[in-house]
Amino acid sequence: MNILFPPVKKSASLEVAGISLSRGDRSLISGLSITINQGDVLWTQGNNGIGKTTFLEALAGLRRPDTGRVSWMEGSTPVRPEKLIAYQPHKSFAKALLTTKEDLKFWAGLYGTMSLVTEALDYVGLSEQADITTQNLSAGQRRRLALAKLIISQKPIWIMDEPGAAMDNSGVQLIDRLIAQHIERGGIAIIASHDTSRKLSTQTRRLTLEVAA
Amino acid sequence: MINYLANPVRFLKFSKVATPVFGGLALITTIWGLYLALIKSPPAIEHGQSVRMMYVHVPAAWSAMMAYTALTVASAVSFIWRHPLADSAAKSFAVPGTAFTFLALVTGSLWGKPAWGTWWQWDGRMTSVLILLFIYMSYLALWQIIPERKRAARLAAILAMVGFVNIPIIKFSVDWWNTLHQPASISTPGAPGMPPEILWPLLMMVAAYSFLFAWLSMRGIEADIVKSRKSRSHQIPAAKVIIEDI
Amino acid sequence: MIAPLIKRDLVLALRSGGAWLYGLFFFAVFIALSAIALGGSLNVMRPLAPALIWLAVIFSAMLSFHSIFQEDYRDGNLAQLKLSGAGGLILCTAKAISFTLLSILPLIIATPLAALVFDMSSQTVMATVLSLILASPALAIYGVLSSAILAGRRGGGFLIVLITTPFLIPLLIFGIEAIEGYSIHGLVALEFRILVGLSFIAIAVGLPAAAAALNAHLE
Repeated sequence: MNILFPPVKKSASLEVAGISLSRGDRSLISGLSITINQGDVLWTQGNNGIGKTTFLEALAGLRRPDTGRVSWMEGSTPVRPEKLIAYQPHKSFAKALLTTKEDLKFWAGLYGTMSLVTEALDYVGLSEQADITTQNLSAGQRRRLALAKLIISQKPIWIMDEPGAAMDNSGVQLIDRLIAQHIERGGIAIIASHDTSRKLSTQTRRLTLEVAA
Repeated sequence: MINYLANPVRFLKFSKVATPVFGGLALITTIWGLYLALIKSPPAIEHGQSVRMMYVHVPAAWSAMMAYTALTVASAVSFIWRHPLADSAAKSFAVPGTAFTFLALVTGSLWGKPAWGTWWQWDGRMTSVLILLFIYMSYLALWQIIPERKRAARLAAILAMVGFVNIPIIKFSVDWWNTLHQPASISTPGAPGMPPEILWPLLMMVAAYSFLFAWLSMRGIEADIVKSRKSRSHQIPAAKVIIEDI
Repeated sequence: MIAPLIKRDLVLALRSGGAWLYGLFFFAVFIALSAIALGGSLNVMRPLAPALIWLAVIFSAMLSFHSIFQEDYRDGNLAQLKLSGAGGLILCTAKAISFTLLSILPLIIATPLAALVFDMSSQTVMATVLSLILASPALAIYGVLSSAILAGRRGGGFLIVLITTPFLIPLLIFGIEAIEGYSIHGLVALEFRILVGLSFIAIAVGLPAAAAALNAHLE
């Protein structure tokens, strides 16, 4: 499995400095600061609509904070988020008319990791589904495909929105194993989840968003 | 000056004084301009009384273009510096701009009936103004259809700027098309070589339109600031954040 | 980086059960309805034929514009493409090329057939096809621009027509003038060069604007 999880070459980190986020006219988060370093796991919890996804999007560089800033660091140099971030959204983004393998290969082509496709499919348990179109996958299988995309991206920072939704027990174990291996090689995992947060690394933290009184 | 006014609070302080001044000037110049245009200036030899339509039509067409230029400048400021006040300004310039464009079309058409014998001629200028109306309408519609304000502002700014680049191309195309298909003898409102008794009322009307534009835009910006403030004051406070080791 | 994006669009279109051909059906229907509305006399229609073909192409393209980014925006592919390092400019260029191949090229190929039902001279057919080819980069790019602006908006179909119209008017004017110009000056007609110029302007202005609009949805 080592070819799927080579050690991260340059340490990555995320610096969040006083960001405020809103959705439409509604203010969600105000003045949040946190630094996330190599080997960190950060669980993000909170009720529906409180702003977990918006927060993750900001960390992924897909949403500009109203105030404050997010810096993506490689060693001590700031870099573009594209260089470090792999983002698994809540929705599956597999193309319905492509087969599982074709869909994964497209992304592997963009990431330059074509040689990992077969191994990654095997790791997430989709080898037998490689040649059926993704519209015929179950919801849980589609989430497994999304996990394979995280692996082949070979990026140091994983941001995962509800990875355990629609997953069976073995799927949840797969996620834990995956994150543990990613942390071991020097990666970072940021996970939004309704599940109980599990200690997957010695540096595990929980960020809870609560309705303010 | 612009930097100073970029703060909404300071802008509202400034506009409290400036808006009534613009409104008053608009009223005075409009009355004076209409008096000069409709009563004092002589009827034209060729077109008779209908020439007076020119005093409403020509400044409307000019102001429509001026308003679009202002809209583009505000859009560029909004796009580059992401300033919310520039968004309000751009949006507020578009409304009187659209009204002026529409007025230019209507008065041009009213002028056309006695001058050409038809309500409409596909001459270069009228066609260009019609296309300008399309541009304004798509700009305003874009603001309406995108619910997130910041995103709407940014996309509208992009559309406004590309539209501005496109205007001279449209003008060039329409003139080309027009000279090929229309006899050159069609006269349009606004004659060359204006004597002072025509020029003065015209300039007065241009001033009237400019002040009207300034007044309407200021009112629009004020309303926009107040509206966004109100929506902010009614909302639920941001979430409480707890970070803990586990 | 552009090639895999185009390839994926083509594969998805070919597997879509012929959805990419709807624009061609529309083109045929437009031509047939025009002929019926004009009374079906070839002598009446012959001089109008280039204008009708141009209108059919423009309206057909306009109806396809809204779908350029629709899917990719809704299913989250745009965000993923951004994170994979495919910038807005690359994406918009790829989309403009795949749109040209899937939605404009079939219409250009069908033009000689439409010319048969209008009994156009072979010279006019050639000029029409040539003017469409020279205008197609601009047509595709303004489609990409308006689709990028309205990405993910429901009911944007009519608005997209309104947004693109001002950009397409110069193309329509010089496209049709070029056909007349060809009958007098042949290939050196000035209008052909202007069409090329308009396409270059679209590349220089429309593409970066489309990329900026796309980024505005992802920030």
